[in-house]
Formats: sequence, structure tokens, C-alpha cells
Amino acid sequence: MGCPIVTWQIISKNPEGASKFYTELFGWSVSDNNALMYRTVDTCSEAGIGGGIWPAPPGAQSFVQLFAEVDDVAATVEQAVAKGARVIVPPQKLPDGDEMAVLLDPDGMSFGVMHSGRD
Amino acid sequence: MLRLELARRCAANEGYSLRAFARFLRTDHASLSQILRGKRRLSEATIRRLGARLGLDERRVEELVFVERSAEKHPGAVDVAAVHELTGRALESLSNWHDWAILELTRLECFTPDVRWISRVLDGSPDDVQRALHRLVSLGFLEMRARDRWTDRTGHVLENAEQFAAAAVERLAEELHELAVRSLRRRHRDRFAHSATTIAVDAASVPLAILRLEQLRAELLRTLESADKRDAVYYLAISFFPIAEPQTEGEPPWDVRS
Repeated sequence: MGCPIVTWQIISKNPEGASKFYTELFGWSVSDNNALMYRTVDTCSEAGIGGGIWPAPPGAQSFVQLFAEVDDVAATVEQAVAKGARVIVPPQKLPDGDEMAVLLDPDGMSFGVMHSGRD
Repeated sequence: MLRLELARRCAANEGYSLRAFARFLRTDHASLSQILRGKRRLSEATIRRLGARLGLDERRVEELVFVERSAEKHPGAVDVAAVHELTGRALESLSNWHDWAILELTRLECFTPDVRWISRVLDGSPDDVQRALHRLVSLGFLEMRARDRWTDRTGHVLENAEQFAAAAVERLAEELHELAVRSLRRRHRDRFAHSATTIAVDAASVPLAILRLEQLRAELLRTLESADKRDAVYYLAISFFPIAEPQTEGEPPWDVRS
């Protein structure tokens, strides 16, 4: 398979404010009904993909991360590191069974890789 | 080195700050901040002055002078941004009591792996708990194995914030070491050796293995130090410790380190 972008994440200094802003602007639906209170975003459209909102670390600016679906998160992280990426969040199982990792590419841009545990 | 020293001091004293560290070093905090962020190079005189304030021995100071000169000659060899990021993450964890408190909570029978529950128990905002969880996972302190199973991976019995801070500093030092090894591997494939393995052993043979490692270390140092010419600084670490044992509760790991 390829490695499609399967979700995106707004890392926000003000997650509640971001949630309100985009919900009102685009009519998106946001739910945090999960153990991490992760704000999942449904764009209410069959086109495109949904995403989520997570609080930014203190002092960091707000930004967007893209997540690519991969077969093997750990192996992809190893390949990325060999090519000059840096690991921000090491491969990690999430409570819902998904596995993910967050990296910085050689230019310092953050991105994520994930493998759905629900297939 | 300065970053680690600052982290150690923050770990030992919750109220310790960059300004306090700058006062101790008899420098202004803006300059120190630039140095710590890798925005400012250290002159040889400054290294010697700071080394004296920190009580470093002459050999360590010479090493630092050598490393700084190498970095000047080969800009980009030291991944300053990565070091800054690692340090920043660890310092954030050190200065935020939520982080160790969450690890404490995971050990309770009544622990509920849910941000709402944690924020209620700690009387903090869900956003702060989410940030703390992100730091703990990033530092490898917490693993979310399943929906109902969040595990403390510090491997320590953390009784208080000070012990958590010490563990964070320890993890920071490990990550910095790994970063240095990765950096060297990219640059000098033929000029370093790094290997690790896991083996099942007879516990009775461990003292002999430790003795042999100490002999190897001493012999290697004798060989390296006998050279007249010295134009490189290397890091040597020899570690040998149990990952799993039948019954040795409370015993420290064996570690021969140079």
C-alpha cells in the first residue's frame, strides 16, 4: 500500500478557542468523548478527511501536523531517523489500539506516522 | 554540559531558575540563555571561566575547549536544535508537578486512565493534563498499552517530585548520549564503535564479567593515554546490568562506566 495522509492535527495554544472558531466557521463537529479527551474533528463531509485538536506545549506556536498511515510505525521511524529526522514522540500505542509516532523532518517540520489498530 | 548542570540544579531545587544559574556563573542571564539555545559560541576564555565556577577539573575543561573549537571548524556537526529541544522537554517536565503526579496516580488501584478523571483528581485543566501526558510519553516515562492500561515506565519508585526530577535528568542524559552517537554515526562511520546485546547469563559468573570489563577499561585507557599526540575527544561507556533477574530485589544494577 502507499502511505496516505489519514488525519491531521491542529496543535493549538488555545484548543478550546480553536475548536470554537473552526466549528463556527466551517460547521465542523468536534467531540472529546474519549479517554484522552482528544478533540476529534468531523468535517461533516464525505470528501476529505477528519482530524483533531491537541494543546500546544507551553511557549510553542500553533501549527498543523499531517499523519501518514504506514504498515510498521517503528520501522518507518527508524528509516526516517536514518534520513535525518528526529523523534518527538517515540512509537506509542494509543488507548484505542492505534499506534503512532511524531517526528521532525530534516527541515524541522513536524509530522506523524500512524497505524490503525482497528483493521 | 551547561544544560545538564542547569537541569540538575532545577531538579534539586524547584525554585531554581536560569537567572539564579547566571548569577552563580557570574554572567548575565541573556548571554547564558543564548549560549544554552546554541545561539552564541563560547570563547576559550569563557569556557575556562565557567569551568572554574563549576569546579570542573582541568582535563574536562580541555575537552570542552576542544569540542567547542571542533564545532567552530565544523558547523552543523552538533545538532544544537535537537539538544535544545530535548533539554526543553525535560525542563518542562521538571517544572510541572502534574507530570510526576500522573505517574504516581497510575500506581493506584483506583487509577482511571481518563483525562477527565486525572484532571479532577489533580484539580487541573484537561489541557494541562493532556500536555503533561504528551511530555511523559515523549520522554518514555508513560506507555498507553491499551484503553485501560497506562503504565509507568520510569522503572523507579518515585516517591516525590525530586525523584521524578532526578529520573527526568537521567533520561535527558541518556537521550543526549544517543543523540551524540547518532550524530557521530552519520559523520564518521569508520571512526567509532557502538554495539549492544542482550544475553542470558549464569548469575554466578557476573562478578568475573565485571572484573574483566574493569580490566578491559583500564587497559584501553592506558593504551589511549600513552599516545603523545591528542587531537580528538571520544566518549567511552561500558555498561553491564541486569534486565531481568530471578530474585535480587533492591540491588542496584552493575555499571562500569568511564
